Amino acid sequence: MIAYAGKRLLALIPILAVVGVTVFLVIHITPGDPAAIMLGPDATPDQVAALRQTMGLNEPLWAQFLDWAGRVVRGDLGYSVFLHQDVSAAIGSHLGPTLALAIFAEVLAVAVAVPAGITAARHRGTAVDQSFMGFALLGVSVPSFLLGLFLVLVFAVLLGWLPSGGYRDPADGLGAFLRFLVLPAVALAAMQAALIARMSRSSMLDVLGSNYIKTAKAKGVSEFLTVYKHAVKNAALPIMTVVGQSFGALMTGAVVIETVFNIPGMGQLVINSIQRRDFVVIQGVVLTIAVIYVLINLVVDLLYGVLDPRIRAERSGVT
Amino acid sequence: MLLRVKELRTRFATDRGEVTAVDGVSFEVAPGEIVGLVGESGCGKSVTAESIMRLLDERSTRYSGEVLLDGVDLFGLTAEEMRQIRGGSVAMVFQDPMTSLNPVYTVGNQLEEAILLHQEVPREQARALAEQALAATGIPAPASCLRRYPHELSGGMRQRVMIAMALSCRPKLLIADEPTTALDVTTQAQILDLIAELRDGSNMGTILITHDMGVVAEVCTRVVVMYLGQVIEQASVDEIFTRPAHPYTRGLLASIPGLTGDTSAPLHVIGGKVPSLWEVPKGCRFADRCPFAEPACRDDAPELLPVDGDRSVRCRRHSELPEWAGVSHV
Amino acid sequence: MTSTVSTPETPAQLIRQTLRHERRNLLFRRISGNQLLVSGGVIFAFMLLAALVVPIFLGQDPYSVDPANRLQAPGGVHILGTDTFGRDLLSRILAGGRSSLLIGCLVAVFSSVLGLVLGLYSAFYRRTGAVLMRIVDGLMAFPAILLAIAIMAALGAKTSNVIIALTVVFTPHVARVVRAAALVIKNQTYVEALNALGAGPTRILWLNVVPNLMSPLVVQGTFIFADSLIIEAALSFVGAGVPAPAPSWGNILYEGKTVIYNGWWMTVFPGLAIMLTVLSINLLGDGLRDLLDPRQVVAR
Repeated sequence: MIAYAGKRLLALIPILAVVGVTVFLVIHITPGDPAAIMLGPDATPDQVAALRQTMGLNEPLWAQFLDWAGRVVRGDLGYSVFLHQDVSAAIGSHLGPTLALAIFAEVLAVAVAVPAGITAARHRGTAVDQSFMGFALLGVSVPSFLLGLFLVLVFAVLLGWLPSGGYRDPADGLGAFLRFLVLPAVALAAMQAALIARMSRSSMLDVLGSNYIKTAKAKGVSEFLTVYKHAVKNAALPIMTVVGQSFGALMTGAVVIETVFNIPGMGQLVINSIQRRDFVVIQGVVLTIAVIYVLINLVVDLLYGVLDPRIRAERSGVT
Repeated sequence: MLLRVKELRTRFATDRGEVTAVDGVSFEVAPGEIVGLVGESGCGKSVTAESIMRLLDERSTRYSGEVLLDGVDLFGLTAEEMRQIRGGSVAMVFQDPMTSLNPVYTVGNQLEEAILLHQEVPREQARALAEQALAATGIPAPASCLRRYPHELSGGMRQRVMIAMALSCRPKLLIADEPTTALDVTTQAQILDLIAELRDGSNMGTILITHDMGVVAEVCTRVVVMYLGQVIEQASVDEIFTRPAHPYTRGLLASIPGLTGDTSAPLHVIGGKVPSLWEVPKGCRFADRCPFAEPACRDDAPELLPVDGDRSVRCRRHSELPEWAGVSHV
Repeated sequence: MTSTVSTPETPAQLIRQTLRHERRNLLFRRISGNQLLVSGGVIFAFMLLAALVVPIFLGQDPYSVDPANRLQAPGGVHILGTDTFGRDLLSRILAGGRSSLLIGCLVAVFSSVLGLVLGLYSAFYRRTGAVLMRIVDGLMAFPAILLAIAIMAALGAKTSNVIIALTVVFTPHVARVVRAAALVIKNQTYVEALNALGAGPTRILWLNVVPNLMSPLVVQGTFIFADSLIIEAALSFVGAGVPAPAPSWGNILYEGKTVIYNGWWMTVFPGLAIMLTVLSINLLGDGLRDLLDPRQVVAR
């Protein structure tokens, strides 16, 4: 198991390298002088030159990259002249709402989708199956920010049951915190729930057709246990991959949803920075989210090894 | 009589209509017997076995007839009662050992599950019983085998595990569906020896499904030959090999390559192909491929009629067939 | 063999003609029997036609500002109402449709072509291929919208930059699929056989490998079309996409959000337009996939 984990970690390095280089290049592919763009058309040449010096833009490109990479690895993501803060501090204060939203949405999605998919597989071909999968098709077709807007129209504007935007800190009351997050979480969760339900169903169907399920039935195992003990553990692997990937998708979907619902998270941070051309913040946020995304995939891979003994053996070269 | 199958008919509902895979099959298994259920792929042997155990999806399958286990009709039981029977009184071993064990649970876990389902014993005793069951099938180091995952075992070992699992609750009837087909010849011989040993050691009745007449000759006491969903001949194993009555049985036996005789002559084949279940012939189902067929054979479907002693044949001309020259000869 | 004989004279000609008719009929039946394809195709064709033809009949200008008539409810002259600047919503939606569809189409085509080239190259030249695939993996480690936002932030908000950004986002996916498929095809026995017969690599490539790649490529292209529509809308919605005053479904939604309490039509209609178009393209893609090869697995 350790060998397997070690191998996965090593495979991360080239990916992180490419991620780093790409993020770094964001500033440098801008047509024109980044410093001048950041300061705007009213800046004097002296101000621009001074900023160039502070940002180290006069050094050769590779030197800038090494310097940047070195600082990033130590946790220093730079300083934003617009926010008058270290970028890492800005990210820190904005990460909370985004994570809260993503986690809430993930819990919703999994809690609804996995049982739905399993049930659809158990009752394959019946009305239950077809209606669940019909919903799933709809879910995949509606982009989350659109769903968010529609939900606001129905539940906030038309019915007035829920707020149309804003965020409350959980410390100020769990009830309010949840009330403000329900609509955005549902909007985010819908597409992922659809994908997870579809994958759960197809994975279960695959497994239910296997010979070892026939064996279990021949042994006299009850239908319930056949599904939930024998089948689910085998079906879990692909389902887990989708769930893991979905968390990354949720975090990035949150970027746009936060604009719909005025949530002060990473999404708002990045989008406001685009308008201000605050490249340092954009780099920091994109890097952070990308790294989180990559780490999530790593965790999913490792969980794979835990759940399926064949993969552990195969990947560490035992069999 | 341990098992009496009477006029078993199994029909599947498909997109193209209902198809009858098993059409009026009747046979018996006595305690201590190994009955070989023989036929080509697709003749309905596996479906018969799965029907006896009611393993098929009952939403799309229609059974009729009776399956009497010690006098109790299995088709009359509720789903829950049937579940008790499966693995307890009747156990089944499947064809492909490579995929018949759950890959994410250890062998021990799966064996203990089988035991705990049918016997009220504490966990530790279940483990001991599991170890005994494994030892009885000749697995070396059964205790450590319990801790292994299926993928760590060879095909032959996995099949022994399957047999151990089937026998762990001392079933009255064992159904083995082509248990050696997926194994190499050496392992096949070992598994057959094991089955023969088990027959000698207990009163368990066995149905051994196979398409290999060599296997039949080695372990079976009686033989039931099937073709396109019907039984076409039943006899003791000696009679089948010395005086086969049905032309199909003769064809099967003649196709076995022989060690003696003219080894340069081409192997005998039964000409033609098995008709599709969608187009079952009107008269005798074997008529198109039968070297002895007459026009009357194609018009009237023959019944399965008893011949001397315990034998029965489904052929109107069986008494008119020429002298049987022996296996590997036409 | 290429004569245009309409009345067959010999049995051989009769057979050939019958086979031709049968093949055509079979294809036609397969297409028309494929519900996904047909319904998706019909809806999409409708949207396309609407976007191209209706504005001519409408006679409204999507850009003309009319403050006196701002935020009118649907009805009358302005069938779908007006927006915050008094511009006719229907013509803005149609104009936005044209631009979104064009962007989606170009992105699908460019990324398919680029991805095809990159994928083939890495399948046939192992060492550079390995390096290219590392880069592709790294790019794919970015969530699509994030990468698009980063590139738009760097390049600035212009329609052409949207196309560039989205092409960069999707090309790696195509490259990966193409490479995997090309490797499989390359190693199949019939290619070995061709090699043994003396067929040159170019011939093998263009006449054998590429045609087998066409169907997964087309199907994936359709899904890329749908995905880029969504991402472009999202980008425009957050202000990093098509810049105002040029209409895009995304930026109409953005303006609509500020007045969601008293201008529901600015949210509902562009939203429905996006949903219907994306749904129809997805159906088309699913249908195409069933039609072209039900056994192919296309990375979605």
